[in-house]
Amino acid sequence: MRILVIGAEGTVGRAAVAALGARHEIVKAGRSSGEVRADIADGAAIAAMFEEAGRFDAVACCAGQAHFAPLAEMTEDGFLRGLENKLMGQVNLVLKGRAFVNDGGSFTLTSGSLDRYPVRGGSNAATINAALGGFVRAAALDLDRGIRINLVSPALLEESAARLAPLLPGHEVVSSARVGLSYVKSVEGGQTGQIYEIG
Amino acid sequence: MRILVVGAEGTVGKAAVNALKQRHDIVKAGRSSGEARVDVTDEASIRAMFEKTGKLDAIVSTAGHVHFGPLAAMTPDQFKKGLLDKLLGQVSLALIGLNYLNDGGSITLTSGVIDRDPIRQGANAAAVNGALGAFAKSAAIELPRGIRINVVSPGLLEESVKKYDGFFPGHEPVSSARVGLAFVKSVEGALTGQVIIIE
Repeated sequence: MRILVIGAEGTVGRAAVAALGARHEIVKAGRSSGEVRADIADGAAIAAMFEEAGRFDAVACCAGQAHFAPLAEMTEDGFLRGLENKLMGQVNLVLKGRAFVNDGGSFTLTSGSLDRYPVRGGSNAATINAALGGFVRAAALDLDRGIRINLVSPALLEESAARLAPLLPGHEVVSSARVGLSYVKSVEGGQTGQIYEIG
Repeated sequence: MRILVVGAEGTVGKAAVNALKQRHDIVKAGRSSGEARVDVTDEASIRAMFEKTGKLDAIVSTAGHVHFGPLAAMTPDQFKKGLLDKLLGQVSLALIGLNYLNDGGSITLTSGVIDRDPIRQGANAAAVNGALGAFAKSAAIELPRGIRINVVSPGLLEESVKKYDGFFPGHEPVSSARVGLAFVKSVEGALTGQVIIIE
C-alpha cells in the first residue's frame, strides 16, 4: 500500500512508520521534515499537500498539539488554538483528504489517553481526544467507497516518559512497538469507527 | 439556590427549568429571549451577561448548535462553526462563569447521544458531544472552591421526535421529566466530572 504518514518524525509517527515501513511504501509528511511539508493547522496547506503527494491507500496522522494550561489560566484563545491544531487539523485531513484516498482505503487519526485519565492542566487535551473519538465513530458511518477510519489513543510513550512522566502521575508507559501495532491493525485490518486504547 | 439557565427556552432548557424552578430562583438567559441575553459564541457577550446576573450558585447551559450534514459534503468551515458554538460556547461559559459562582457552586453543560450512538450526518455532533464529556471530566480535577462540573447527555427528546424524523433510526425517545431529573442531580447533588446519560 501507499501510505501517507503525517507527523512521521514525531515520537508516535516514528512508531507508526517503524511498524508499517517494512511492507508498505511510506510517504512521510511533517511541518518541518519529510518528503512533503504541511502544517495541519492550515487548511490550505493540507489541500496543497494532497495535490502534491497524489493518491493513497491509507493516511495516518500522528500530528497535532493541544494547549496545556491550568484551568484557572486557560483562555478562550488558548483553548481555540488547541482545537484548531490537533482537532480541526486532523478533521480537515479527512474532509480534504478523502478525495485522494483510493476505494477501500483508510484514515487513522491519533488522540491520547488524557480523556480517559485526565491530568491537571490537561482540559484542552482531554476535550480534543474525546472529540476525535466522537468524530471517528460517526464519520465511519458516512464515509463511502469502503473507506474506513479509526483512532489510536496511546498512553505515555517510552520515548517521552523522562520528559512527561512527572506531569502524568501513575500513567502507564507503553512501548513504541505496541503503539505501532495499532496503526497496523487500522491500516491492514478491516475495522472502522474504532478507538484503539494502548495503556 | 440562584441558578442561571442559558438556553432556557429550548427543548432541553425548558426541561431543566421545569425540574428546578419550584425550589430555586431561576435566571433565564438566551440568544433572543430571557432576562439576560447572550450569544455564547461571543466572549464579550458572555462577560456582559455575567456582569448583569452577578453571583450565582449554579450555571446550567443547554445552549449550542452543531452542524448536521453528510461527511462527503461537510466543509471545514461548517465543522468549525459547530465547534465554536456548542463546544467552545459552553467551555467559555464555564471558564468565565466560574468566577461568578459561589463556593460549592456547580456548572452543568449539555451534550447529547450521538457520540456513543452515532447516526449518519452526525460527525460534527459526535465530536462536540464527546469533547464536552472529556472537558467536564478533566476540568473537575482543577476547579477551585468546591465548584463542581457535569455534563447531561440526553437521548432524543420526545418533543423533538417529529423534527428529527428519520435521522435517529431505532433511538428510544426520552421524556422531558427524565432529562430534567439529570439537571437536578447535577445541581443539587454532589457529583463532579460525570457525564449523566439519559437513554
